[in-house]
Amino acid sequence: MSALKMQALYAGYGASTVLHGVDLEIGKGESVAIVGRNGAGKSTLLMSVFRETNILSGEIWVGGARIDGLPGYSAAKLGVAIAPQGRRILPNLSIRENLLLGAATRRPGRWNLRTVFDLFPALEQRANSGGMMLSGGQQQMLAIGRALMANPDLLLLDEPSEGLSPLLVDDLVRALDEIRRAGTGILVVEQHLSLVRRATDRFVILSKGEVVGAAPTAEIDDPRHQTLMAL
Amino acid sequence: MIPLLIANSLALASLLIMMSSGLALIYGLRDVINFGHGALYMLGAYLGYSIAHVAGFWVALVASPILLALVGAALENLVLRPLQRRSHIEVALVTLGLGIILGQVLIFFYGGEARTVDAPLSLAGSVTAFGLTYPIYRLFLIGVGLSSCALLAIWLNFSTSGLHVRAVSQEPSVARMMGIDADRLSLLVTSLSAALAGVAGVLAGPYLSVDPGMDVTMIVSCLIIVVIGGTGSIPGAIVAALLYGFVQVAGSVFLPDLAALAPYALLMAVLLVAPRGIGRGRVLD
Repeated sequence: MSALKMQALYAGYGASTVLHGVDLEIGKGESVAIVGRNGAGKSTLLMSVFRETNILSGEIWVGGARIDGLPGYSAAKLGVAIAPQGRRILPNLSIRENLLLGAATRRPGRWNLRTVFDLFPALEQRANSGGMMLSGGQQQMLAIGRALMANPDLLLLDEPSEGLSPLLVDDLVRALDEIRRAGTGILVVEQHLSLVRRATDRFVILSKGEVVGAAPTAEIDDPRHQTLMAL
Repeated sequence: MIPLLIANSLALASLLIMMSSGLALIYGLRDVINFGHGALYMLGAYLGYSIAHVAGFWVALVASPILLALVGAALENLVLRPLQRRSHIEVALVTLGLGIILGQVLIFFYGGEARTVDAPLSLAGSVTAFGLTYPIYRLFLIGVGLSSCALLAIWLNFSTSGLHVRAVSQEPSVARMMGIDADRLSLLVTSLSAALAGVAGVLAGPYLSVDPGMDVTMIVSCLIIVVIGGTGSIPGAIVAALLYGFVQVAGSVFLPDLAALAPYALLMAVLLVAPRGIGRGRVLD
């Protein structure tokens, strides 16, 4: 059974259709990247899992449950969590409270405040400070930690390396490795291929809302794929 | 004179705190001003009046909020939830209309004259302390008002559902993505707000009176308080209610002819200095 499956998905915002018949399947424990140019529909694809878009037609399955007709909070309860683009830390909550928010699904599993603090020690040191007091890298850790608190089968990451220095991207890759070793799958939307090369098994190319290619990450520098990514 | 002024301000503010914090909670979660909130208060008062006549004040103080909580649940399920994708002004107008209908139904059944409710014997009379003689019932009212503030703060700060309410108020879409069911929370909050209106309505009986215009008087006061407090901010609403109570009481003592204008003067003064009100944002700010 796949962790996430999309079949012929058409979705967008208002009157605008962004995704045009997307088919995608992510197996349990897999680490997959969605790559493509700005405006290709990568974030829309992730947001559609939580019904933050207008789903026009097609199907979305999480585990064995079809969720495209269910309320937006259902995906998290069924095992998909997200660290959204821009981190979207709640500014008026403390770091601890932001993390506890992720536990709203009450799914059992490895991740709790202790194990998240072990993974990101910087968060524990400032647990009672406001979430916006953190640096960009620490905010990304908080967004990932918050998502892990849901004990998801699949972790969605939207542009996690955005605004991070190469050193912080290294830390991020190490954290993603540990998350994968714990059995959590990863679906990452990224424009920077350095993270994709080091943290994923395969990639899917999205262009103008359609899947136009897919291959193992080892082939990401193949000129054919690079051409498709530039479309 | 000054201690009496403060005590009377606190007594009035206690009712206003219970009402305006409920209004701010619903606004924080649903982004809608419930113009029918004054009618819920009036319903609580009339139910309290009827129940007190049959079973006594204390039974009324428990039963009326429970009944109001059920009315709040109906308001959430039948009005706020089905209309949540409509514009704020449309939903606000629907609550205004429902409030007017409810007020007229109560007048149809109870008539147009004001009714009085006696304080229970255990709260009758006065006490003297520090040279001030003060009615026990008003002290009780202050105690209930301040306790409700404290309980609300504890709930919002230290419970899981309180954390979720704060999250939905700040970032509804992030809260949804974290798996929080905002509709279920809204049911809780609307029921709680209506129950608080029920408590305020019963308590108002022996303090003010039970009369057909009480809903309008209260909703106008609450709207002023919520705007002064910063729309959706509960601490802001509490501070604003205290300010409002003081200005209203002080106005009626020192400038009785202009007392009715005092809250509006306060509103204008605060908005000139802080256009977004005292509070900084939603629910707990």
